Amino acid sequence: MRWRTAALLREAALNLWANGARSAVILLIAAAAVGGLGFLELQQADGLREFQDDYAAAGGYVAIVTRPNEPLDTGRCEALQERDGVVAAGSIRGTGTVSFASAPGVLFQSAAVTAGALQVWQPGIHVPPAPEGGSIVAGGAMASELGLATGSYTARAGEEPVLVAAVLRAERRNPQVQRWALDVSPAAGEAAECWVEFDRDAYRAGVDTLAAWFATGTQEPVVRPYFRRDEFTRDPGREFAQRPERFGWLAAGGLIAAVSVLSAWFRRAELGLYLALGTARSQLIGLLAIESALVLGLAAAGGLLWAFALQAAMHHPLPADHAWLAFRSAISGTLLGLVLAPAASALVARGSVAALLKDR
Amino acid sequence: MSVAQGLELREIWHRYGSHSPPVLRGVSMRVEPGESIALMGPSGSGKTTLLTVLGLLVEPTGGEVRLDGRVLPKKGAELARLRAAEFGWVFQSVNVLPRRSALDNAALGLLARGTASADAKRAAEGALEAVGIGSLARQPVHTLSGGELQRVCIARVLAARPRFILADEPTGQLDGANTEGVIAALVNNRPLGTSVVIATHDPLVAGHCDRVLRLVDGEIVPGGASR
Repeated sequence: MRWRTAALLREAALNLWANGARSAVILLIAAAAVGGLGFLELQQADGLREFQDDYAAAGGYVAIVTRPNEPLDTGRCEALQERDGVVAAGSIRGTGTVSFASAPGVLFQSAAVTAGALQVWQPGIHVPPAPEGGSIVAGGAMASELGLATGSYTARAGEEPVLVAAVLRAERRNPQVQRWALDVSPAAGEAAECWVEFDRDAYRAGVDTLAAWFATGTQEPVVRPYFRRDEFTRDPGREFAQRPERFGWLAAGGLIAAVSVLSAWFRRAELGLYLALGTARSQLIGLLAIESALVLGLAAAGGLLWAFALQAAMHHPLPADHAWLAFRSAISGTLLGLVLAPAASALVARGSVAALLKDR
Repeated sequence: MSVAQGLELREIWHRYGSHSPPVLRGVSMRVEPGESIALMGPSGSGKTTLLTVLGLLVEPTGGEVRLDGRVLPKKGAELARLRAAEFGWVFQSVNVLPRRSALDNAALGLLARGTASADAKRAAEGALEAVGIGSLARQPVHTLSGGELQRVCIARVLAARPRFILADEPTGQLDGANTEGVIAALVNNRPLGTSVVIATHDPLVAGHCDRVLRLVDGEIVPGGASR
């Protein structure tokens, strides 16, 4: 005395097809909810990725090691580059002040740095090997003041001209060296500071090991982040974990269920007819669930495709992990709607069958 | 000892809400296998309520409903099974699945009873032929007239071959010609052994039935008739 499964499936499909306008409205609303949620997640992830990139570009994963009143070993600093999770590492040692023939009387700081330090301050900077007469790397501000460019020559006061091997653009990661004249030297000898950049995921663990790595002198090394964390209040990880969109699947599922209940409300007489003809309430829920599954399946697929297409149309990247995030949220909302909708709709069909049949 | 076949109400009372007056007051009646009964009475006399109690759609406030001598349970799956297996309904307001075909609607009762789709369709086509609208089987119901729709409902009932057909003012919204057609389909073309109880105001309808029961203020009163 129960519907056969095949007949119930066919009945659900026929109901959807015959009432195309109603099905389309529910489908569109569900697709908008699911797709909108997916798109919001993509946008949120996109914004956080941009921030993350900007944060990294500004030196968010750079740490500086010093030792009060005692130099560091340049070799140990340079050796950090062999460790997993280290992007670049290099050292700097101040060598006093210098003036140039083209600007007599104007003093600039001078320092000896390793190539790794330049990579930390300006990732990807290319510094060719020094020619026979020697070369310097000019800080951006100094180059501007003296009218220097990569490949030009300049002369320290009282010395032979040297090649300007590169102009360092370090406004974001070390603005202090912008007015410095830098001699690139091999990793040997002593250094005042060791600059290390880590991969994002390796940063915290990497920073924790630096003190032990440099524990060779009589003084404890001091490790500090380039960014002061108390000044820089944005935390991408925390922002992601606390994003409002994380509750979006509840809202989307609730909206889908509400629309389904509204639709069921207008179908009270129809639901009553099924019951009056002997359909068990469990099978009525099953019928509604099949209808919901068919509509919501299409809505989820369509909504997500729309979200991805819109993201692409806005020329925003769509990495796999962002797509997965949007998919996960959207499908969670859809599944919640799929669970709530038939159950809530069945509540509409509770009570007297005779009363339902009279409702229109 | 032989068991009395048919449907029996014993001292049925019913009220909608604890503070409202009773709609049915101690109604007792039997529906014998194969007989047709017209329930007549003024509006508000309790005809529809009595039908819903007979059809197990409403649990009465008091009294017993017996089927083939057995007292029926008040609720539960057994009641739903009996409702589906033994009863067919025709309502005054046409109850159909909107925008579905006449054939889909006529097959619905059988499908709900677990009949395979192909068999249900075949039986529904036969029933639509029997009530004179076989040519409209593929038409969506919203394109049919009131009389045709009511015949679809009757075909749905006939296709399922229930033991009891309950009809609530089935001709209430029809003109004379359609009334004749519907009554012919419902009373005269019903399968052998099927009982019909029709709530009606129409003496023409009552004239086709074996018995007339008169209901006044929730009680069956003398003045009915038998053919």
